[in-house]
Amino acid sequence: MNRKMVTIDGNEAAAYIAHKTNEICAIYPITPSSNMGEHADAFSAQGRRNIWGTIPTVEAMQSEGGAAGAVHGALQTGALTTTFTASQGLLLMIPNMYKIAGELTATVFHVSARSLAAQALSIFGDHSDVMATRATGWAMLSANSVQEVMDMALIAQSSTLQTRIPFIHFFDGFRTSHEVLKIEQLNDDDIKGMIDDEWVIAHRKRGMNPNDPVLRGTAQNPDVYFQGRETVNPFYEATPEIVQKTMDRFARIAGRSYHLFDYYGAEDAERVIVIMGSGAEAVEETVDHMLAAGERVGLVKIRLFRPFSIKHFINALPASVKKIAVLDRTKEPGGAGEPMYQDVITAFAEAKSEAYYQFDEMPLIVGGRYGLSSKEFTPAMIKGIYDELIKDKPKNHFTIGIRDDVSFTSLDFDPEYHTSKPGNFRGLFYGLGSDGTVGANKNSIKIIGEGTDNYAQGYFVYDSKKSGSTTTSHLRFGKEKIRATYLIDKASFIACHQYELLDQFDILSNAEEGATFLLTSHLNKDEIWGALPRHYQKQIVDKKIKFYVIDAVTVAKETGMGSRINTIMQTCFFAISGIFPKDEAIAKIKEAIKKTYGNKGDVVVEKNYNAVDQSVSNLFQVDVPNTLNGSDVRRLIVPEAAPDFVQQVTAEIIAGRGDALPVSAMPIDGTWPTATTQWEKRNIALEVPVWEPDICIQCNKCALVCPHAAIRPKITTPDAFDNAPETIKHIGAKGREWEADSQYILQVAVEDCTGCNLCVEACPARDKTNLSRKAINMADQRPLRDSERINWDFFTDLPEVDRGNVKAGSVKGSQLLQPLFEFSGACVGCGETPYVKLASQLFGDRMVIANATGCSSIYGGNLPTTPWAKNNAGRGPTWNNSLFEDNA
Amino acid sequence: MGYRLTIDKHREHAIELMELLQDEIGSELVTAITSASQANEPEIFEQRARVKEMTDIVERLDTPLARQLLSVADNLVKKSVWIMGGDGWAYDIGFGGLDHVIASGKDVNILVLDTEVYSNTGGQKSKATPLGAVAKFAAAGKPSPKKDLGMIAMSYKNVYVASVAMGSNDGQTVRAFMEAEAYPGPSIIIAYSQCIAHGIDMTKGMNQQKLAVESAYWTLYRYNPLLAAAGKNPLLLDSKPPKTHVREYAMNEARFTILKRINPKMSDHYLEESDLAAKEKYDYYAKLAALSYDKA
Ligand SMILES: Cc1ncc(C[n+]2csc(CCOP(=O)(O)OP(=O)(O)O)c2C)c(N)n1
Ligand code: SF4
Ligand code: SF4
Repeated sequence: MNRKMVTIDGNEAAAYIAHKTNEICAIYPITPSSNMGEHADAFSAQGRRNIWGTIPTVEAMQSEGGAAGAVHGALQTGALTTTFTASQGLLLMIPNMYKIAGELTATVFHVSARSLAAQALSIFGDHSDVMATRATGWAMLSANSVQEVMDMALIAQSSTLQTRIPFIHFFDGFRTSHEVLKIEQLNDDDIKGMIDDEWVIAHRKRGMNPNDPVLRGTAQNPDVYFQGRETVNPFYEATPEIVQKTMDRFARIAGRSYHLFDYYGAEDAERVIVIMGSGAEAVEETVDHMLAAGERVGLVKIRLFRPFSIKHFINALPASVKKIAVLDRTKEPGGAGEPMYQDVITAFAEAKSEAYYQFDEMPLIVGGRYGLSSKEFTPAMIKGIYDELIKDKPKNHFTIGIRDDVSFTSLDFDPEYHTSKPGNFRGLFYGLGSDGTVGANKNSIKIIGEGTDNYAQGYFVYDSKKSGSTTTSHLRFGKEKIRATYLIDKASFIACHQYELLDQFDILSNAEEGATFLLTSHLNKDEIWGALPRHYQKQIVDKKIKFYVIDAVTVAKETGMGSRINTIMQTCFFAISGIFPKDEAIAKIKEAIKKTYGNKGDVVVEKNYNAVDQSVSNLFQVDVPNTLNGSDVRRLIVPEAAPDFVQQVTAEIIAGRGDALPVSAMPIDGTWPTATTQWEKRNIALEVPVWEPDICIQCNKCALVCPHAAIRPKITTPDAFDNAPETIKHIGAKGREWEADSQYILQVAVEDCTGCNLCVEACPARDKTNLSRKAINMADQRPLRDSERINWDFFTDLPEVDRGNVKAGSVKGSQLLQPLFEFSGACVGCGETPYVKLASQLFGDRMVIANATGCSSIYGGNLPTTPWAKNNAGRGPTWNNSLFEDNA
Repeated sequence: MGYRLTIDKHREHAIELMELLQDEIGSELVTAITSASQANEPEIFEQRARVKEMTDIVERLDTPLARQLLSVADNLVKKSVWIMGGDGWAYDIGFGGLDHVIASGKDVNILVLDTEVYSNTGGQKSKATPLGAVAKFAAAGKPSPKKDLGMIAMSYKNVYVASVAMGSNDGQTVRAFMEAEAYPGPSIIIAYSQCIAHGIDMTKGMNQQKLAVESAYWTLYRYNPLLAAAGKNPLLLDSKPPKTHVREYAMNEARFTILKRINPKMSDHYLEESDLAAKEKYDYYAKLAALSYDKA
C-alpha cells in the first residue's frame, strides 16, 4: 500500500494513530490537546474505523479526573482505551495513573506538553506537566516533530501491549501539536504490521469478566503492600529492550530508524547537548552548521525517558565526550537540579563501575533550563550553550533565552547567529484573527506541500485577545527536511495583511536582504511611498527590499468577496513569491478554489476566480526611490499619564518586546496591578456609535449591554461643561430625581469600542421623522478618533455620580455607576462580559473574586492589560484565578 | 469559599481584638461597629467611616494587639465575595465544589456565565449544552438535554437562585444581582450568555436572548428563600408564557442549523423535543410559582 504525504499538525498525527489503534477514547478538552479529542470525535462521527474494523467510541467526560477514571474502567474490562490531555488535565489524571501502572495495564495517553499554573497560568508548551508524572510508573516516550508524533504514537501503542507498562506519548504543546508539517502518513498495513493480534487478545483477556471472576484493587497492609509493589520490577527492566526492538521493527516497516537515545553529531565530539522534545530538532540543525565550521559537537536526543536505561544512554555517547549540557524544559524550584540533569548525573555515577562504561574520565556535566512556556529556542541560543561548554568552568543550572538579572543564571549568546540556508523560502504573514490570514496560509501550505516535492512547515502565532487579535504566520518551504522548530527571524518574504499593523509592529525588522514585501493599502502608486513611516522606508532601501502593494480591501469589495481579503492576499503571494512560475501558481489557486467551493455552485467558484484575476491585475511593484521622506514620529505605546509600571513593563509587552524584559521587571509572586486596559488603546472598531442627544430617552440600555464598558452615561451640573471640548455633547437630564438643569451625557470610548453594534441594537429610541435613525447610530471610527479621544478624557474627569443618589436596582440607575470592569479583550459582542461589568458597577468597590478558568479568566486576567479597575478612591475588585476544577 | 472563610474568621478575630481594646477605642464605637447591619450601600459607607475612626485610634496605640487588629480590621466592612465561571466549570468539572459551597449556607455569590459550551477552549459540549446542538465533542448533535442547575440549587431551599437573560428582561437581571448580593447566604445567578461558539450574528446577540425567553428555551425566574421565610412563595417566575416555537430561536444559530443540513430528520426530532421540553419546564415552574406558602 502506498503511503500518502499529508500536511497536518502534531495533534492530528497523534489522533490519527490513536483512533486507528483504540476502541474507546475518554476525552476532556484542554489547550493545546483539545484538537486530538476533537479529531477523534469527528473521525468517529464520519464513520472512520480502526484497524480492526470498528468505529471507536468517543466519550467526553466531566473532567480529566473523570476521563482517567473512565479510561481505568474501560481498560479493566479489556478495551483498548486512550485519552488526550495536557497540563492541569494531566495532573488530574495522576491518581488513576498510579493505579493503571500498578495494575500493569496497557494504554497510551497522548500528551501535548504544556506549562502548569504557578505564578500564572500559561497555555504554552514545556515539560512541566509530563515531568510531574515521572513517579507514576508510566513509560514516557517523546516525539520531537510532527512526523515523529505519528511514528512514536504507534511505537508507544505497540510497546505498551507488549510490555504491559502504560505509556505517555508526549510532544511539545503548540510547537509540535500545532505546527503544520508535510509528513508521511502511516497506512493500515504499517499499523497492523506493528501490532500483533495476540497482544490485543491477551489485553482483552486480562479484562475483568464475571465468567472468570477476579478481584483487583485490594486494600493491603504493612505485611504485604511493600512486596506487592516490588512485583513489577521485571516488567520495567524488560521495557527498554522491547521498545528498542519495536523501534527496529518500525524501521523495517516504515524506513525511519529510532533509538532509545539517538546520538547525532561528530564521532569525536567533545561537547554534547542532551535534550528531549522539539528543541532537539533545532539543536540538530545547529550541530550540522557547527560541524561544517569544524566544531566537534554532538547531541543526544532522549526518546524513552522512562524507564530510563542507563546502559543505553551511556553507550549512545561517543567516548570522546568531555562536557555535557543537559537541557530541561521545566523547572523544579528547590531541587538538586532539573529531572533530566539529575538522571544524567545518576547515570554516570552508576555506570562508572560497569563493563560497558567507555570513559577514561567522567565528563563535566551541567544543567540548564530553556523554553518554558514556549519561549523561543533558537540556533543562536544553542550556539551560546556550546560556546559556554568551551569554558573551563561552564555555568551550571543556567537559563538560556531570557535575561536573568536577579540570580544571574542566564547565558549570553549572539542573536545574530543564524543557520538558515539561502534558497529556502521563509515567509512571515501579519494579519488579524478575523481576516482569514491563517486559514489562507494553511491552504497555501497544503497546495505547496502536496503539489510539489517541497517540504513545507507552517506555524501560527496568536496573541490571546479574543477580539482584534493579531496573528503571525511563519511558513517555510524547501527541498530539504525542515528542522527549524523556532520562529522565522530572517524572512525572505513578508506580507502585511492589515495596513494598520505597520504601526503596531516593526514588520520589516525580520526581513533579510533582498526580501519581498507585500502590503495591502488603499494608497496608490504615487501616494504609498510618502505615507510609509521613515523607518520602513529606510529598511526597504537598506535591505534592497522588493516592495509590492495591492488594495485588497477594494478588490474584495468590487469582486463581491465582502470583507474577506484572504484569497486576494494569497493570490498575490503566489504571484510574486516565485515558489511556482506565476501562471502555474494561479492555476493551482484556482484548482484549490474549485475544491473548496465546488459544492456551492459555479457562481461562487466564478466569483472567486474573478477575485484571483483582479488581484493579479491590481498588484503593482513600487519603484523604490532613494528619498526617505516619511514621518518619523512613532506612536506612543501608552499615554504619558500611565503609571511607571505600565510604562516600563506593560507597554513593552504591548509593543511585542516582552521577550526582552529581564527577570527583575517581573512581579515576584504573580501579583499585577489592576486597571490597566485603559492604557491600551486598541482602536479595533471600524465603526463606533454616535449619540444623538435630542432623540435619546436616557434609558441607559446601551450602557448595560455594552460588553466593553465603552459607552457610558453621567449626570452632572451644567457648569461642568464650562471648559468642555468643542465637540462634546450633553443635554438636560430627564427624571425627577435630578436637580433642575442637571445635564446628561453619553460618551463613547471610540478607541476602546469594538464596534459590536449591541448598543445600537439595544437602543429603543427612534427619530420620529426617520425611523431607521436611532438615538445612537454607527459611523466610521477614523474621522472621530482624535476628537472623541479628547472628549473621552474630558468625560472621565467629570465627577462620578453620588452613589447614594441613584437607584442602583434599576437599569437606568445601575448604569450611572462606574464600571470597574472595562475594555476587556473579550470577543466582539460577547454575552458574558455585560453581566460581569454589571456586578462590578453594583458591588465593585468591595468585591473579592474567585474566577474559574474559562473565557472570563482570560479576558479578565490575560496580559498585557487587565480590565478589572479601580474607582477614584482606589477601591475596586480584587481578583484571582482559581483552578478550573477547584473554584470553591 | 476560602475567601469567605478568611473574611469571616478575620472579622471574628477583629471583633475579639476590639473588645480587648475596648477601653482605648471606646465601647460605643465598638458596639456600633459590631452591630452594624450594613444592609445597603449607605450603611456600608457609614461602617467604613466608623472603622476608619476606630483604626485611626488604634494606629496611635502602637501595641502588639493594636497591630494585630489593624491587620484584620478591613474585614469589619462588608465585602462581597464572588465566584465566577462558565458553564463548563459550574455544570461539569467544578460542580462538586459548587454544590458544596451552596450547601454550606455561607454568604457567597456565584455567577455562572452560561454559554452552553466550553467557550474558552473552542466550544466543546458541557452538560449545559442543549439537546440537538452541535458542539465540539458532539459533532452529531448532543443527544441529551441540558441539566437544570437552577432546580438543583433550589432543592437546598436556603439558596438564592436566579436565572437571567439581560437581552430579554434587563430590569429582572439588575434586580437579581441586587437580591443575590443582599441575600445573607449562598446565591447563584445563571446568566444566559451568547457566544461566538453559537454561530450567530453577534450584533443580534441580545435579540437571541429575547427569542430564547419567548419560546421558553430559557426561563427567567428568581427564587428567594427570604420570601419563604415571610410565608410567601419563594419562586417568582419572571418569564411570560411562551408564545413561539423553539425553532424561531434555534434557526438563527449555526449550532442548530448545522444539524439541519447534515441530518434533517434528527434535527427536526430534536427541535420538537426541545420545544416540548421547554413548554413542560415552563408549566412546571409556573405550577411551583403558584403554590401557596401561606402557613395559616
Ligand atoms: C483541569 C483543567 N482541565 C481543562 C482545562 C482547560 N480549560 C480551560 S477553560 C476551559 C473551558 C471553560 O469553559 P466554561 O467553564 O464553560 O467557561 P467559558 O469559557 O464558556 O466562559 C477548559 C476546558 C483547565 N484549565 N483545567
Ligand atoms: S459598539 Fe459595542 S463595544 Fe462599542 S460602545 Fe456599542 S456596545 Fe460597546
Ligand atoms: S464567551 Fe465571550 S469571550 Fe468567550 S468565546 Fe464566547 S463571545 Fe468570546
